[in-house]
Amino acid sequence: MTVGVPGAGIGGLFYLASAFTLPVRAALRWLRGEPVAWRPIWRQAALAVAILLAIWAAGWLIGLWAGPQARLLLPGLGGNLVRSTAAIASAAMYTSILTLVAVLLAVQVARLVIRR
Amino acid sequence: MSRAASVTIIVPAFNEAATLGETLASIAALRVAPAEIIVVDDCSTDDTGAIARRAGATVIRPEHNTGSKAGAQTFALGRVATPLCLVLDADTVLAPDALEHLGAAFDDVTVGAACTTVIPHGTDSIWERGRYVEYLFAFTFYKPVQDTWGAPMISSGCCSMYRTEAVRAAGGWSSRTMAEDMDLTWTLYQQGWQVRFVAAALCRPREPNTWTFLSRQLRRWSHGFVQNVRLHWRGLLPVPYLRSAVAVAAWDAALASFVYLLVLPLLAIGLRNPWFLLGYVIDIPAILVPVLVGAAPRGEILKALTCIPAFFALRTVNAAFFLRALFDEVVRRRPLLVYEKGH
Repeated sequence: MTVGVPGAGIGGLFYLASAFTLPVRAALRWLRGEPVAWRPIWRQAALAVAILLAIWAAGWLIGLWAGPQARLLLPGLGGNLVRSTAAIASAAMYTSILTLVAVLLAVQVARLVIRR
Repeated sequence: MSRAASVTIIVPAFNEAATLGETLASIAALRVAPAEIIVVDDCSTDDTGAIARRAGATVIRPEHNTGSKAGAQTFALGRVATPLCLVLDADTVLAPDALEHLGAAFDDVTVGAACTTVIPHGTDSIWERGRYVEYLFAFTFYKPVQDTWGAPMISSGCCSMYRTEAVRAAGGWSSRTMAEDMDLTWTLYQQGWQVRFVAAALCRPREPNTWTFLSRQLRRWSHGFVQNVRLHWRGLLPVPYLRSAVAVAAWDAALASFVYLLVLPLLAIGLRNPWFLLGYVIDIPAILVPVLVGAAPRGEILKALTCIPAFFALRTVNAAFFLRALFDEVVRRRPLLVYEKGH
């Protein structure tokens, strides 16, 4: 069962962060003497690394393709367009990270403040 | 007591003659047989009951149609005499080793529910192809991460195994929301039970192959999610990780849908910058990696790649249905109360 827009939004960031922090959480449990199944943890962390690499590679390829295209289609404006698109992409990423942090903080505050 | 003897399979069925035979054949092919198979013939008008009886299942029939899958499953719960029960949709087939994989999760006495990997049975229509990618993505990335953090968000309704005493203590499957599986999963967490995702166990449901079936299903799922968040949000706050996962899912379902359907096209038109439309597919790499990792062991990489475009179509439809459900439930205060059967 899936609702909304699977894969998009802050959910992607949330699960990437969840996968990256799994080894840290597991290490803490291991230090406390608790049993830890390392294999699925490394598998999910590796998957998260692969996803980040794929996103980076896609961004790099789009930059390679979009720069010359924009300059060709919009002489004089092309450079600005590429720069503004890059700025928009960066802004979107930072907005997503901040939004995720705000949502997670709101949940923690609600947990402390609201009683069942 | 052997693991097989400890499981009863419940199959709720309303006019499922077209698919029930295949479902029961998959149960007959299980490497370990269940103690009993109960088919709830929910006042079908086709051959559902006869097909189930021929396959050797115990057929029970309520006096009147129960009105929902939740009602049919709860009707059968009183007949269950084993410590574990598995609910299986009448259009879903089980892998031969699914029962033993799921059963192993219950060696931990704190586990109240366990769910399987779900991969669509067919990929003929655009909606089935989209769902194939959606499930490969979710069951390769999101669900295993949730499980390792100790909190799968939902034990899927198409196939899940439960500790019978836990379901009884929860009052069975409730029809107070349109997503009885999510309702029960979140109730179990609040009662202190653990829920597990067992990746090695596989089931294959028939996904909607027509717009009519798809729209009924998405309507139920979208309304069901909103209803469950409203019903359970306070109770979920003490549950680590799940509270965050649900908050993020709710935020995304609402805001990402809004951005996807309205903000991106408005920005592209308003600022006369078509690059904004890249927003619709910008996450292809993030989708593609888990999907291909999930497809590779099945030898289905080419199939997954050809299904990718359908995923984006399905995602757009998902977004529209969720916004509509949110509007109806929260703004118009018109909750969906009638269970419309789809797949």
